[in-house]
This record gives sequence, C-alpha cells and structure tokens, in this order.
Amino acid sequence: MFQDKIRLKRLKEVGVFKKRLSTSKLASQLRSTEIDKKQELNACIHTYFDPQVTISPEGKITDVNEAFEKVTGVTQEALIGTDFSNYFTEPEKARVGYKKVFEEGLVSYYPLTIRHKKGKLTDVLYNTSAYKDDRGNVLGVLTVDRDFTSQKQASQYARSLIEASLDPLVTISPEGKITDVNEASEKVTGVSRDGLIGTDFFSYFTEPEKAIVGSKKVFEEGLVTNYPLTIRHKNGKLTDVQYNASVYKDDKGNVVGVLAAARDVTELNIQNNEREKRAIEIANLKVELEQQIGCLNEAAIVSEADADGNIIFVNDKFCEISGYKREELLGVSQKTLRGSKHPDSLSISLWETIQSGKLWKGKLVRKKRGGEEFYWADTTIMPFKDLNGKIVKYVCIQFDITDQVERKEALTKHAEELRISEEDLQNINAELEVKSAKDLIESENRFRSLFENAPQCMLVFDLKSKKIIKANKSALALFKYSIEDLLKMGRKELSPKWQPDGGASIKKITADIGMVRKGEKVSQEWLFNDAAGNDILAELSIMLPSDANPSQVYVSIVDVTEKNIIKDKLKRQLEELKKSNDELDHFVYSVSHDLRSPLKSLLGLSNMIVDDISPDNSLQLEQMGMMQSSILKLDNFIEDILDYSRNAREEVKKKAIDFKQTIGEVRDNLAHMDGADKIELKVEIDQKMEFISDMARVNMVFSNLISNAIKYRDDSKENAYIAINVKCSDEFTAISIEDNGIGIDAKYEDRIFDMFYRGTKKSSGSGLGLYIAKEAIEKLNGTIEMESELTKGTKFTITIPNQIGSLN
Amino acid sequence: MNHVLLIDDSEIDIYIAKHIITKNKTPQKLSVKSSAIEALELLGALKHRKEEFPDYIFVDIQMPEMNGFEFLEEFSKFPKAIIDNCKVIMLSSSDYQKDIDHSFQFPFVKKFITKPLSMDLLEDL
Repeated sequence: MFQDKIRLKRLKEVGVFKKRLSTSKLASQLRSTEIDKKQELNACIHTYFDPQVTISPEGKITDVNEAFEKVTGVTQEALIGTDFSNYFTEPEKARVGYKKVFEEGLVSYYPLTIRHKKGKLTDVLYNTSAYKDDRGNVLGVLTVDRDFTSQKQASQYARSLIEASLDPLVTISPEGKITDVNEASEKVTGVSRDGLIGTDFFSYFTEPEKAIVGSKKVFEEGLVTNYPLTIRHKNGKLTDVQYNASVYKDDKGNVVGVLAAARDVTELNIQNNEREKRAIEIANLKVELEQQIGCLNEAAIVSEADADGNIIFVNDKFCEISGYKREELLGVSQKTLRGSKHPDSLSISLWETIQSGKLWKGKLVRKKRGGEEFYWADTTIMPFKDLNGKIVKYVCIQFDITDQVERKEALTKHAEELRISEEDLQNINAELEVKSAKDLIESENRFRSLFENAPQCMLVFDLKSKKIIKANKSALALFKYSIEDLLKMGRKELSPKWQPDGGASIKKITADIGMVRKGEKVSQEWLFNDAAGNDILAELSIMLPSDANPSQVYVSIVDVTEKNIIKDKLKRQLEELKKSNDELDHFVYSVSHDLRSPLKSLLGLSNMIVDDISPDNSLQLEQMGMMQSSILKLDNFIEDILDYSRNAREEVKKKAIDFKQTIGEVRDNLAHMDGADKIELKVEIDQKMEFISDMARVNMVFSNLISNAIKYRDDSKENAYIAINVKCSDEFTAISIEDNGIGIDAKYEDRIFDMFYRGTKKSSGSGLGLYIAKEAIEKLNGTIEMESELTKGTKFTITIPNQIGSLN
Repeated sequence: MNHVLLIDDSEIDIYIAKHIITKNKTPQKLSVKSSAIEALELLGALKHRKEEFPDYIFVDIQMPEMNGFEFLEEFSKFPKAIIDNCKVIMLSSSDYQKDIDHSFQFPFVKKFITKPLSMDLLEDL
C-alpha cells in the first residue's frame, strides 16, 4: 500500500518536471546576463504573460507587468508603491507567503486568489524567489503569478521554476556537456555554476558509465524516469538521486538538449525504510493488540457502556458469567445489573469518579440472569474520551472473584470460629492453671508440712548463694541454732574441719554436691557440730529436688549417734556371744567326752565281767545286763544332747551326699543296737544327680528315724521292716521312712516333735530324737511330716532342698 | 602283731585294752604309755631300730598335755619307711564325725574305734 502511494506521488512529481521543461529556454535567457539585474528583471516582468510583480522587503510593489495590471484592473502607476497583499482575497496569506520568501529564499506554488477591482477573481499559484545584490543582500522578491484561468505559459516562468526547484536541475547538450544548472546542482556537487557549465555531465557521478548510458537513453527515447545515480560532492559526500530527464527541442523540432532533474532520494530512502519499518511495527502491534484483546476476552468480563451508562458492547465472557444473552444486554442500563448487596453510596461514588473522567477500581456485586444469583467482580472502569475531552464511553473490565470472596468469607468465618475455640482453649487453660496452681499450692503446703514436721533434719541448700535457705524444726532441734543463725550458714559452719576418716569436710562436701548434680544420690556418715560444739554423728543424704531445679539441693540428716552406740553395743554383744558360743561348744564337747569316757570304761569292764561269768550264773548275768543297759541309756542321752548342741550351733556345711553310702553308714552304726537284727531294712534310692546338703545333719535325721523304728518295732509282727525311699531331683530330695511298728496314738501326733516328749511308755530314749531330727531338717530348709496309726505303723515324709544352686 | 603300743591316760581303759588285745591277738610285745609325750620319746628311741618299732599303735584323742591329734601331727614327721610299716588305730570314747574326719586325714590312721574296745572290733586287724 505504502509503496503504491509513494510511487503515485512520484508520478505526480514527474508531471511537474514536464511542465517546467517547456519553460527552460526562457529561463536560460533570463540567466544570460547578470550585469544589471534590475533591467533584466524588468524585461522579464514585462515579457511575461502571467501576472508578475516585484516586491520590496517591506512588501510594497516595486514593479508589475501588463498581465498584473489586467488581472487587478489597476494601472502600473497605481500599483507601484502599494501593498502587494492588498490585491488578494486573503491579504494575510499573501503576506505570510512573501515573508517566507525573504526568510527561506524561495516559495513555490503558493496558492492565492487575486481580486480584480471590479470583483473578478483569478486563482494563481505563486512561485517566488528572492533576488539579491552583488553582496548577497536581498533586494526584493520576484513573484511570478501563474494564472490558471488563462492557461498561458510564459517561457520566463520556467527559469524561475528551475531556480525555485529544490532538486538539482541541469541541462545537457547532445554531446553530454552541461549547458546550465540551478543552485541545487551547485549545492549537491559543491561546484559553482561556472565550474559546472561546459564540463561533462557524467563526471559528477560515482558511476560515470551509467550516467552516460542514462543520458544516451534520453536522446534516444526522449524520456527517462527514475534513473538511479549517485552524485559525488567535491568533498566526497554522496547523494543518492533518481533522474527524471527528457529532451527539449527548438522551434523546428530539433533536439537541442536534455533537461535532467535529480531528486535526492537519500532522505526519501531513509524515510521509506522508516515508514516500512513503522508499517511493520504497526502491523505487529495490531496483531499483538488483537491477541491481547483475545486474551482479555478469554480472561476478563469486558463491557462497554455509552456516556449514559447504557451497554453498547459485551464480550462472550460477560454473557457466560452473567447468564444473559448479548441481545438482552445491549442498550440496557448498567444499573439493572447491579447486585442488591451493594450499598447505594458505592454506586454513587463510582459514577462520580468515572464521570469526572477518572479510572475506577473496586469490587462489585453483579446480578446474574434471573436475579437469584450474584457474582463478585473485581472491576476496572475507564472512561474513554474524544479529542475534546468529552467522555464517549466507559470500558469496564471485570474478573469473576466470587470464589475468592466466598473462600475469603469462609476463611473469615473459619478464623472467627478458630478465634472462639482459641478463646475457649484459653479459658480452659486459665481454669487449668488456676486448678493446677491450687493443686500446686496444696501439694506445696503438704510438702511444707512434711518438710517442717519430718523427724529427720531437712535443709535446703542453695548452690548459687552457697547458703542454707530452709531448715525444718528437727534441724533446729539437732543443731540447737536459731533459724536466723542457721540461714546465714554455708557449707562449713555445721561441720568440724575434719571428718573421722581424715578427709577435709569442705573438700568432701564439695565433691558430694558435684556428684548429686550429676544425678547421683549421696548418702554417707557425716560428723556435724551443734551450736555448743558437740559432735553429732549423722547419716547425711543429699539429693536434687524432683522439679530438677539445679540451683538447690535437699539435705537430709539423721542423727545416728544413738544408733551407733546401739550398733557398737550389739557388735560387742555379738562378739561376746560368739565367744561364749565357742566356749560352750568346747565345754559341751569336753563335758560329753569326759562324761562318756568313764561310761565307756564301765561298759568295757562290764563286758569283761560278763565274759568271765559262768553261763550257769544266770542271776549275775541278768544283773550285769541291767547295769550295761543303764550305762548305754546314759551314753545315748549324752549323745542326744551332743547332737542337739551341734545342730543348734554349727553352721550348715554344704557337701555332696550319696544317700546309699549315708544310709549304709547309719545302718552300720546302728547294727549293734538291741533289736537291729530283728527288723528288715528295705532301701530304695533314686539318685541320678549330685545332691548338696549338710551331711552331718542328714545323717542325724536318718540315724534318729531309723533307730526309732528299731526301738519301736512291733515284735508281734513277723515281718518287721523299715522301708526307706529316697528320690532325688535338682530341686530337692523326697524321703519317706515307713515302718510297721507299734505306731503313735493320733492324740500325740501334734506333740511328737516336741522337746523331751515321749509318746510311748516303751520309750527308753531321751525324748530328744524327733525334736533333733525336726530341728536339723529345719536347718536345711526342709520339711518333715509324720503319719501314724497305733499298732499299724508310722510314716515320715521328708523333703530336703538340693542346695547345688547355692553352692557356688 | 609284733609290737603293739597303747597310748591312753585312762588306766582302766588301758587295762581293758590290754586284756582284749592279748586275749585276741597275742602280740609278741605290748608297750603302754599314759601320755603322748612319753610315747613319742619311746618311738623316737626306736626309730632307727626298725625291727623293734611298733607295728600297731592304739591312741586315745582326749589326753592331757598332748592330745591324740597332736601326737598324729608329730608322728607324721617320722621317717616314711617307718611310718609305712606302722598302723595307727584311734581308740576314743568319741564318735563325733569331726574327730573321725580329722583322724583319717593322716594316711597312717587305719581305723577309728569308739570305746569300749571289744573282741569283734579287732577281728579285721
């Protein structure tokens, strides 16, 4: 499009050149002499057919031609000295025109209308140029009025046109020599008119060959248009030009030369490029704008209202959100879409804002079709104004923010609920605090009461101030200080310098506190001094309070002075007891030995006597028998007392016991007992593992029970027996000793294990046998039970723990 | 039995023992000492005359000055060759296990007899 326009413009310009060409001959004549410019001017003026006039710098007419007289209807004499501008319909415009000439040097095609004195109007185009004196001062203006109405062309006019042209013009002879140039040509080449005339036309171009070809072409074809060449200024500056050239002929039609008009296209080219660039930019902008509008339409609710607020445009989004059809909206007032949630004040302020031409932004509630539903819109309304600043329409862009608003409302509600529940929580917390504070006070009171009334001394020691900060009643009583004195004390005052073990009190207590702070509990004997300087031996305990306040420790002091006295006494007593026990042991042993030795001698002697007595002397034999049985009874009694004594005093000696061997030894020891040969001993032993217990005591038990069975056998029964059953396990050994002897009356069963108790008249013993057996079993942590039936027999059931586990 | 030595502070017991032993075993020689110290003097005098050294010693435990265990202690210091040919029999009124165990700690103690001594108790010698 643009290029077409440019081309069209160029074509029009070419037309102008053609007209000028026809006047070129006159122009050359005009330029032929320079001696008297005024004369020449006069000649020029008066030979022109077009109205011509010269004007002084003041705007007064200095000369006119006949044509000017004709067109104004005023004589030359009357015209000269009058204001040039007076003869035009628009004098002011005329004044502007010639002033411009004085300023700029020339004016071309300046349209004016000349008024004849009788009223006839003639439209003219002025081509005006300034003429100067030798020093270059402007003398006046030659104005050539071209009368379009008369259609006449004056040849002199051409010269002016050539000079007036801004384009470099040149005439060339058929030989290619420059015959004439205008001022523009001088400028573009940097060479004076005289320097140019007579030189080769082509020599002023960067491509002379191309210039030659161009000029030849003109002569051949009569015309060349837009022939591009580049003129080189003598200073080297290049000017891109396009030549429009045509031949001109003499009266007889012979070609006399070429008029070539160069148009400087450097600027034009730049302008062209810029225009093209701008056109592209505009096209891009348009595309971008369209896309932006597309985007806007996709994203936003767009509507336009006229100055009265009636809707003149809505986009699809508007229809989609509002639920209205486009036809329903167009022409309707914006107000009808107003949501009822709106305060009127908002609408009023909105209208005031936009009517004053300002932008309005805010949130609006809009009614959907049907009026039931609403939507929230983030709204921007912009008034559009015409050139005069009058508002022609309002463009409204909205975004649906209903979701956001609802979410915000929900959030606000939620936040409110949260606030309420937080308040509740705070209330509960406050209550709890009050309650726990109450509990705390209560427990503190309880603690204080405990602390105050505890039987042992209690002190609270502050680690920072290194002072006692609390002390209870017992502490005051023990140390005999007043509470005031006690609370001034540190670690040293209550203790002597040295503890009984030789350690320095201060050093020891510092170490103790260090241990306590590491979480260890300290409890040890400590020597204190009371107010009077008396020693108090006490059990000292230091602990951290349970609330783990690391700046305090609790100190508990129990006076052990008395306790220690008792302890010492007990220790002494124990030692004495041990000594007396040892003595007793030795005593019993010695006594029993010394008692038994004479008995044994008696027994030996009596045996010798019996051996020597004649078997016929039955009386003596009977008496000796009674004597021996008495001796044996006494010996047995002594033995029982010894057994009792040993069991009571001797420690349990743990040793592996082989029951078969143990029972065998007991049987052997009892073999000489009266009646031992009359009873059958049945022994059943199940011992697969080691059994650990005290052998002497186990022996004592078997010895007593078996000897009892022998003693209290029932001679009326043929098969008197003792059935011994031993069953060992890792835990204990179960022993049963059963006989078919005379038995014990059930009424004595409870007393049978009592000391010195004898359950039958037949008994010849000490009454210690079963008592010793029971005592021995109990020493072994075992049990013994008896079942008996008179005349049927007796059964002892014994369990003895296997002490194999405690052996190591 | 070539040479039997009886050590006992009780004259009656010595009387009984002498009677039982001579009746039962008829040793070639029977020496009697009423104290362990005297017995050791005799044994010390005989320790280089192997043929005269007692082959049986009956010793009581409970005796004044030196008891039976102290005697066993001293006797164990005698030359091994002599001890090996001598059997020691404890003859005591004690039947206390502690005494029995103590006695048998000496390898030359072969028997522990609780008084009174009787014929059958000598049978296995």
